[in-house]
Amino acid sequence: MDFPAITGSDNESCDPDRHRKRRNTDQSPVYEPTSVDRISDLHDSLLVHILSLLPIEDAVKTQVLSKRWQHLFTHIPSLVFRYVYRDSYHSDDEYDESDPMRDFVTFVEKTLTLCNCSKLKKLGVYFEYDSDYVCNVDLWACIAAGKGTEELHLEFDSEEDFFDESDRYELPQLLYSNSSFRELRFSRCHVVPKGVVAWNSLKKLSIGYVKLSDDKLVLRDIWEDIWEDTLSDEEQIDNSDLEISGPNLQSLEILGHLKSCRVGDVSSLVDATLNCDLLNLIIDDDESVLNMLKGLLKSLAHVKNITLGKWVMQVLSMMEAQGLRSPLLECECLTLDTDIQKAVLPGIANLLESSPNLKTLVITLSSSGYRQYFWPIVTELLNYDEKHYWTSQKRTFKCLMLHLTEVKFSGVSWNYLDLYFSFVQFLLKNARVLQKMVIDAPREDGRNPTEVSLKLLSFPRSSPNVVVMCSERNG
Amino acid sequence: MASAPENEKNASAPEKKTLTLKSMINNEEFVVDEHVALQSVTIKNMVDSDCAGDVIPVPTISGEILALVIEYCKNHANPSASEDDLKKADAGIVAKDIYTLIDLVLAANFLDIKGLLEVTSQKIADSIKDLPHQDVREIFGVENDYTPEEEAAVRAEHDWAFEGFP
Repeated sequence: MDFPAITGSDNESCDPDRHRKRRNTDQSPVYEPTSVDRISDLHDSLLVHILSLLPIEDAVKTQVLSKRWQHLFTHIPSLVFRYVYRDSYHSDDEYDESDPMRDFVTFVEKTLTLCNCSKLKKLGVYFEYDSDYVCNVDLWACIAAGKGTEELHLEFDSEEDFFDESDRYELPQLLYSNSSFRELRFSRCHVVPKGVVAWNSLKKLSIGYVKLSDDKLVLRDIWEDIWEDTLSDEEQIDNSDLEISGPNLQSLEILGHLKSCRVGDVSSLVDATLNCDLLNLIIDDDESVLNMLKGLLKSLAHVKNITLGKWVMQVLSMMEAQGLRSPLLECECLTLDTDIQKAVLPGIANLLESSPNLKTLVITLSSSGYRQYFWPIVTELLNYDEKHYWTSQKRTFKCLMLHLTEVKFSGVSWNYLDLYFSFVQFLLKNARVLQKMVIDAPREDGRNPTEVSLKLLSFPRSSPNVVVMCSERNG
Repeated sequence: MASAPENEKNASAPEKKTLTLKSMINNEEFVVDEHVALQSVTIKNMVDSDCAGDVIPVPTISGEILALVIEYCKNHANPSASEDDLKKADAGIVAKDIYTLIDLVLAANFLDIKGLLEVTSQKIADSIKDLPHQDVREIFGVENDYTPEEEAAVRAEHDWAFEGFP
């Protein structure tokens, strides 16, 4: 922690005599601590620091010490409010109308509105929320956002009815555009961003006891050197990992750089996107990376729509080169967010083999896909002739024999045109039940688009009903 | 005279460079390895800017307190100390009466030793947490300048915090 205010100007001085002079003139040279001495020596900032280490209600109570202390607690930069059930409220008086929860809420609100810090380090509120308090919590969230809070914890767990869906607090939209948050923890809150989530400084996220059944949670543009993210439906297991578990989660996107990632129970998941990078992925310790991806894909085995990015495809290529199969996937629609390039061809073959039910294959390059790159070391390790990769395939792929009906290429990059051609050729030759192939390629100067279309249309087809459509995008 | 670029070399060199810290309260002197003393940002700044003579006078800190500070710095300068060892050692250093702790927090603040400031502040906070207000006033030398009416008003302002409080 950083407390720049505490160390006063004394430290900048290298005239140590200054203090001695003061001492020697003011009092006897023999050290006799007196209370007057202490209080004048303890700067307000030092006292505030000590207060900040007390439970907030104890810190607030110190204002009765004296007038000097009355405002000290308003400078505490880290405020944590925890509702504690108190027996003292149970009085025998049946007409006792005290409402401890209401008192707690009032206390939080008073302390927060009195807060004199221009920047809050932390705001944490832990209590059993109910919808009577929506305006209060909205105000706290608003104050937290206004004060550039770095850590915000809103944990509204209740003793019972963990999965009771009523009375959930919905986070105000203004929180999503706040880029000062470094750590967020929400529990029993609805996390439903309506626009862009701009948590650009976020290092750690935990969303607990949240139902996301109809909601889609997408966290994008969070590009930190290390993005530590925790999203869990149960207790957080390991802070440094991304641990995702939500039996009601239907859609999940994992984007950005991660340190490590695991997926737990996501049994309701329909759409999954893995467009992430793992730092220090391949060079040091490829074994663990391969195992991690295997684990990830295994947890997505039941998911119908899967989107995979460049990094995942490269790791799959590495697996293929080592003779390791991807876990079997029930996936019906597979989107590959990558160029068709040497580093990913074996990965594609690997996936085709492990997705026997595949109906739709989409090759595209999205904006987040652009930001990932090919690791030279992968291309180096994969020692094979990419031009003849598909023609040299001896395997039969079940999905090509039975299910693959639609293939779509969009955002084809001309840089690897030959590799696109040979892949298209391979698909047309082997996909027996293919009905539709759409190729959406950008038109570029110096190329004759008709020539490209003619070539694509000339490939032999094994499916009698296939329609091949070439459209050339402008730009 | 020490100068900044030599510090690192000296820290690992066979003949260690030392500094003498002298408490200006009771003139007690302590000879310490330079890398131990340099955990104090204040001393480091003095050494770096060539303000430090052979003996570094430390004002306002008694020899008794300075000995504790040096003990802390020695523990934390030991690269082979485990986190557990350090925790235990820190707990030993702050196991003192409240007045020593306040002197220690002032010393840590003056010498700018973050870790020591943290453990001492925490210990003070823990010690005063459950004390009646009159005792806290005595510890910090606070004179209650509220009138009884004013004090009652302050209490009423935050009843939740004061609930069940004497």
